[in-house]
Amino acid sequence: MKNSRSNKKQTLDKYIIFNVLADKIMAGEIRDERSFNRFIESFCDDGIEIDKFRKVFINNLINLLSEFEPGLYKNGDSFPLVTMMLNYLESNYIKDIHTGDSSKTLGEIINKLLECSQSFSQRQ
Amino acid sequence: MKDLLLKTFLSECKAIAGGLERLGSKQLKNHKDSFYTRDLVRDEPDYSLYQYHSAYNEREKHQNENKIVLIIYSLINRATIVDLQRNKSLVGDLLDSGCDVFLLDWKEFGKGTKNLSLSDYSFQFIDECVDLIKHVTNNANVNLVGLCQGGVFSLLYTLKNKNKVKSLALMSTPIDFKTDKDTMSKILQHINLDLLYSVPYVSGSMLNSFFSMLAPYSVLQKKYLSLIAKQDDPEFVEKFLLMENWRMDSPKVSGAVLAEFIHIFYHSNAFCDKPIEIESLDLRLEIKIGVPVLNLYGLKDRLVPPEASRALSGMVINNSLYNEVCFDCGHIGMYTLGGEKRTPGQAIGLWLHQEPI
Repeated sequence: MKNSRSNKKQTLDKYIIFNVLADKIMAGEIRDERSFNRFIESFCDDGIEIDKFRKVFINNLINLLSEFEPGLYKNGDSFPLVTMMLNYLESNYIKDIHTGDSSKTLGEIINKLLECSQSFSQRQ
Repeated sequence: MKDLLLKTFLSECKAIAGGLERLGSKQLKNHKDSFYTRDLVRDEPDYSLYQYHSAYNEREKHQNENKIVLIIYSLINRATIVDLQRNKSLVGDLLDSGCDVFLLDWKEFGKGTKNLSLSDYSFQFIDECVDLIKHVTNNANVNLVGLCQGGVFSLLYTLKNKNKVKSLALMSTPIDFKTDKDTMSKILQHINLDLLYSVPYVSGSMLNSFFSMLAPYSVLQKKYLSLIAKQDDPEFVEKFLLMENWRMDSPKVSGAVLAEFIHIFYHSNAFCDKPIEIESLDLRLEIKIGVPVLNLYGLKDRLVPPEASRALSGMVINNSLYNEVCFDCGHIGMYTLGGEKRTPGQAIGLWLHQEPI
């Protein structure tokens, strides 16, 4: 699967949507088809055409899940497809740190936190 | 096929939601106990030195003389990881292997000396402990076991004090700080060290956030899938909670010491320069290790990639002095391996008694 972060043509970034989906799953909010559809619809209130978006999103998800090979997973993985999605997100995240600008961005975030710590300690 | 995949995916989501609900209704017991007792041998403002004993005297007496081991831990997280679980710990494995085990336990920064440096951790404090152990055991052969950053301290100490260390075992210790897969190194290249120097301390929660940043999906999401699935397995839940409590309980660390460490190692990759020159320590060390070395690392370690640890082999003056052993686990897995697999503690014990690993 290509890294969607570099695909500027997509209206909504696949990587970001999978990220939000992962958060919703881990919060227990995706429990059936209805809640899954509600999740998809939540992206479509700003002029994004729902049917078109649903088609693209489902296609992207199916493409990702299609890569699942049971043999690659160790026994005892209870949620192999969700695990696979999280692995995909993490490998993209780490790839961005190594080859993209993420390391710089994360460094800047840490520097901001340090600035806050510094001003906090100076006030004390 | 497409419909089936989607259906399976949604049924997994449903099972996760149901599992979370069940988990939420449970009263998870917080376990905290130890199989071993320990005596406080020395209490200083910045560290404590402990000696461990088995609480139940179940250890078999080793045929050979007991080996003296000093465990040196990292400043990040707490050293309780060496003795976290009953019957499954580094300390326990070393005791069972016929070792007299001492632990150098760093105290949380802020309550002791304010102006600490890397030199204090790598030389002064270790030296004080080595001398005291020699005195109380009447045995001059002290073997160091350095863990992660504590391994770096142990190595620096060994390079400087060639005659005071009998052997050196390093666990998950970075030597080459700029290997290709080192995510931490990539991020730390962008840290403003002047800023870090100026911060009195870095809080435990900030350190936790940083380590979560390195693999957020594994640390903050994926592992909870295992908890959801195995919530009815008391042994798994106990281990999970012990590990989580330990992970979240990071102490404060001196900003200046962290900045010094990052500058010398993550920015300058000091061990890969020859000889090592550490201006702030006013020190120039030949990178030649002349004592037996055992290098232990996890093949799935993300914090310290295997290549970063393996670089140690080039520092030993004679190939016959160098041994390495890898484990099929990650960074923290080195402390929790058990069952039928040989553990790092058992490997160290065998190596110290010159038995096949």
